[in-house]
Amino acid sequence: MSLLILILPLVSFLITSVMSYYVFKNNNKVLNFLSWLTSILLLGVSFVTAFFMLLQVVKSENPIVVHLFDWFTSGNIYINLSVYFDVLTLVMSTLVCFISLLVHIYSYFYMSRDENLARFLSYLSLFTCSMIFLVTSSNLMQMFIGWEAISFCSYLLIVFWHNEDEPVRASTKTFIINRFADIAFILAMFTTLSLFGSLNFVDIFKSLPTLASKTFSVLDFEIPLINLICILFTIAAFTKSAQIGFHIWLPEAMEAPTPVSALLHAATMVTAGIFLIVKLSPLFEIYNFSANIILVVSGFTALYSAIVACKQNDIKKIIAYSTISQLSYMFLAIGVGSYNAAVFHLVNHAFFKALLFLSAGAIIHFMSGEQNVKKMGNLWRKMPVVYVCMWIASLALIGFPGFSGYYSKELILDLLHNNSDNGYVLFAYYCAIAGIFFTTFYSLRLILYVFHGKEEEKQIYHHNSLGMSFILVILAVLSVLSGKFLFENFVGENVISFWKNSIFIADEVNHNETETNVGLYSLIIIACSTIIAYILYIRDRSFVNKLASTFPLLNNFLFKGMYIDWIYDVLMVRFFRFFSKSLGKFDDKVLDQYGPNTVAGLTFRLSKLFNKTQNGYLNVYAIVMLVGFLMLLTYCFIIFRV
Amino acid sequence: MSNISVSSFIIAIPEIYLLAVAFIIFLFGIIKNIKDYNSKIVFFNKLSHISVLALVLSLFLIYTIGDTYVETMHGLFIISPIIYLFKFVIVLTTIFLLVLSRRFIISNGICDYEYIVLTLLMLFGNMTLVSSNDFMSLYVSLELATICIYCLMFLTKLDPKANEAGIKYLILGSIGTAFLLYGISLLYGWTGSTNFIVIKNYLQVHNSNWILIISLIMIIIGMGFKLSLVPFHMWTVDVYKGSNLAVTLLLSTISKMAILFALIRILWEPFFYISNQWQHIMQLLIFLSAILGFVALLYQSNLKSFIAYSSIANMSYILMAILTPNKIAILDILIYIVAYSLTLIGFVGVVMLLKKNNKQIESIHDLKGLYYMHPYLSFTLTVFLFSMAGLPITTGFFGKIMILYSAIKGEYYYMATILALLSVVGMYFYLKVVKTIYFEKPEKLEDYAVAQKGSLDINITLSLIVLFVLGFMLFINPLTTLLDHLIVIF
Repeated sequence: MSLLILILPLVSFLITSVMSYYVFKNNNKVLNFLSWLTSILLLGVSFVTAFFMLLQVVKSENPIVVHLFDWFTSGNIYINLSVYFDVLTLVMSTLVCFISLLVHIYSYFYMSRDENLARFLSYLSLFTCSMIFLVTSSNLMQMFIGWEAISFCSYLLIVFWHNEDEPVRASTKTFIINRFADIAFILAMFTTLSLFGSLNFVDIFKSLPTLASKTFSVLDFEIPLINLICILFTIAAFTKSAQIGFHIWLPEAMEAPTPVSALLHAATMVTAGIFLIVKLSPLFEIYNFSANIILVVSGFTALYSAIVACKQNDIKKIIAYSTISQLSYMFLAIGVGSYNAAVFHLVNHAFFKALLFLSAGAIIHFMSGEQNVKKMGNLWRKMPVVYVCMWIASLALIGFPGFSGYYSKELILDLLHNNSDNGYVLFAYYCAIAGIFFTTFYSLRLILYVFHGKEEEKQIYHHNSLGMSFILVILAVLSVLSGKFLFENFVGENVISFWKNSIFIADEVNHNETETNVGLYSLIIIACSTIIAYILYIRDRSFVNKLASTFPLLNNFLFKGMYIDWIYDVLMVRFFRFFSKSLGKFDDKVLDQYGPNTVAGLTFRLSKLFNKTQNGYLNVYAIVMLVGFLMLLTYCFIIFRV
Repeated sequence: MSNISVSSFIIAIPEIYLLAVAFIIFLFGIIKNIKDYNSKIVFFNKLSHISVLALVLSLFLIYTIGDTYVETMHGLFIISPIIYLFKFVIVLTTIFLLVLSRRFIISNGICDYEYIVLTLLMLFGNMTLVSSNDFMSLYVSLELATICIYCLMFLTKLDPKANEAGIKYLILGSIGTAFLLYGISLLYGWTGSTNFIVIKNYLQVHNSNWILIISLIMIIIGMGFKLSLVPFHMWTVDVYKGSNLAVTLLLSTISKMAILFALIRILWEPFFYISNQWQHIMQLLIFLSAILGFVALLYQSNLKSFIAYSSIANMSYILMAILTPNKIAILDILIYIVAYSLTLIGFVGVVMLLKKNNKQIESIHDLKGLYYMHPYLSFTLTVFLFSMAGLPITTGFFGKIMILYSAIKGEYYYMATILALLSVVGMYFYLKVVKTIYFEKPEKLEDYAVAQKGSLDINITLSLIVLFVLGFMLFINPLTTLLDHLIVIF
């Protein structure tokens, strides 16, 4: 029963991929529709199962574990495949299933005339399945499979329109950057194995108290092994969750069809990093070394990506940078040790980010593929539902009181404020506060550009789709309500009875009764930002352009994402290209020439010689046998000397 | 001496049953005495199906009495679970071979019922060979199997090449047999017995001397000739090339398997206490065979000489595990030989289906561009080639790695290293064939190889082999534990 959550998306993948073959062959509309119907039915059942299991697990004491089979044993490593359902994994599974279901439904309206729809759906289903596989894994090895599978699926989806250049480039970049995550994950896995002797989460947490103090020495420094593991896992999580330095793949991933972005940003892929750390929270709680790193990096990322988002023109890129910034807020929650707050923000974020992306998708669909916000304008009369949804999503994103983002974001700010007795937290706190200013600014800029202002001439508009609007309304309702409804269970009074043992919950961050003025501050900041955005984009737009032309360097600096891509290009790509080219020459001219080529030539000559001995004369053959006998005799005589 | 009781015949039921089937088919053939070619084909088809069914039944027979450990017929034969396992494997391979070569035999006009009768008789000889516990019975069984092979070669009466190959094999084979017999008689002269157990007990208390070592060398030569170990391999290429593909396949799989098992028994039973001596001799032979087999493989383009060299090379690999007499080595040997034989049978079985310009294809170059005509068959061929090359996830990989592992455990480091390196050399050939299939194209359209339509049984067999090759890794743990249970007694 519980396996349905995992298996149904897989079944959906198999069915739709078989169907996609026939759809592609003769562009069959009916089959296209059928594949859509099967996939949403299967995912719907999967979602319902996940939801009811969540209710069941919340009531019962123990997690549900389904043992699938023993995979392999090698030495003292024992790896089995089993599915592990506790509250955390089920919250994630339910979320993934739900967002994925909506995205599946939405995709039909978004690309109904595309003959590749079935293929698209099959990838989406596989993506969902691998993400659920990741979250429900019971050991690190299994998790690694899911970890790889989601990056593979995201590759498939980004390169979905593989006839164009950009998606191919972007997908390759995504894939390569995600190798960082793999390397870090694998190394972390090995270190874990060497420290704990097991990869099973349950075993690791059980033996944690006894082994936590084990150290290794580097240059006379005694470093706890746990710290190494945590740092490596942090790097893995940073890469998947696109923190600064590792984030460059996420804006590129926008080449994928918009529904993918919604799924990728809301529930799968980027949340995997957060999930990884939350899952391993007991490990991270022992020393605060990695927490400090997380605080600094994510604090900076939150500010950085919010600033960069203010200067982007591509509607999807703006939202992509906003995702990076929101992920940083989750990391900040992790940094102060409140893992449940991170998950709380993750869930809220999933709803409003899916809403944002799907609204953006509706806009792009309406504009026949135009993505530049500067070329849009005055759309609010033409698509009122999307307009309202966009407002709701943006308010939730900003953290406006009453919307879901408010609950989680204010909580995170509160936590940062309350714990700001050390410098790292203080830094993160200021970054987070400043991030709010820019978050408000770019959200409003997006809305003002798209829905207000002047209309571009000669635009071909598509019709508004009722199905899309329906999905948007569902998400809009959730974006408003999720914060309020989940608050009690996720971070409020019922924390312990809800999460049980699935997350590490620190005592001091359980209830924060100390009154803070953080809410007031952020409201003031939002107000300031709103006023500036209003002046710049409603009153007089020419000022923005003037600003850009007066400071072209700064303008470019922000537009290009602070040249981080360029730094990578110089440091990694060009350097390595030069390095490998010269090595290649050396290899070709020297090593190959005198090494393998010579050996291969000799081997071939020997082979020729052997073949010549086979001349077909019987007497020769018989004599060779006799010689062989004599040879063996002499050999024995030499060796044994009996 | 006790009388031969009924129970000793009950143990021999699989062999007796096989003999009965062979004779019944023989009788059928004589009584029907069909001259017309077309009805001959129909008859052959029927007989082939019947014999396959009979062999499947004999698998069940072997399975049902597979857990006894008895010496029988005054110590001439011995039955133990591991020997039943050997027999099981041999019969299984024969079934695959019979099914896959049926179509080929018919299309090459040698569809006499004698083919089946001789194959079954050879199988009978091989089965008694595996369970013989005495040099006399070993010799007789070996000759029974070999004579059947001579006859099989001469089945294509009008083909001068086949006749040449048969004559060569006969003459050189008799030299090999002479070595074997001389070795046995020397051994008898020294120990006073031909029984394995008696010789073993004798050697436990007596020291070795020159006579013993000469007889050991001669017996190894006699068996090594049949296994085509270098330098007693010279017949292999000529004979394989001359005889038709089905017989080549038979020679290089079933016959080799049985003789290998017999060699294992000889070296591990009577010569157990002079293992230091035979280990040295075998090491030398393994080195030579490996070097020649793998290196000479590089230049082959003819399909049959490829089979010849590849069987030499693979035999050297298997023999590496012989050097350490323990039950784990038996497992490795079994897995390797089954993997190798089945992939070879599958490979040749696919090739047998292929025709070019209405002629059976003979050269690797005839496979050019096969992918464009038959993608599924090419995939099958690729899987088999990968398995023979020993690429991971195929059975061949696990076979190789287990053999190497057992060699390393036996502290034969140099040998394991050299053979591992040599298998890289061999890989060149296998991958070259894959390249030929996928990346080369013949110039003219009629130069593409075309497959006959496979029948149901052929398709099932091929897919079974593919499943075995690819799916083995999933069952590696349960399979080894199962075999471990079987091999309690050796």
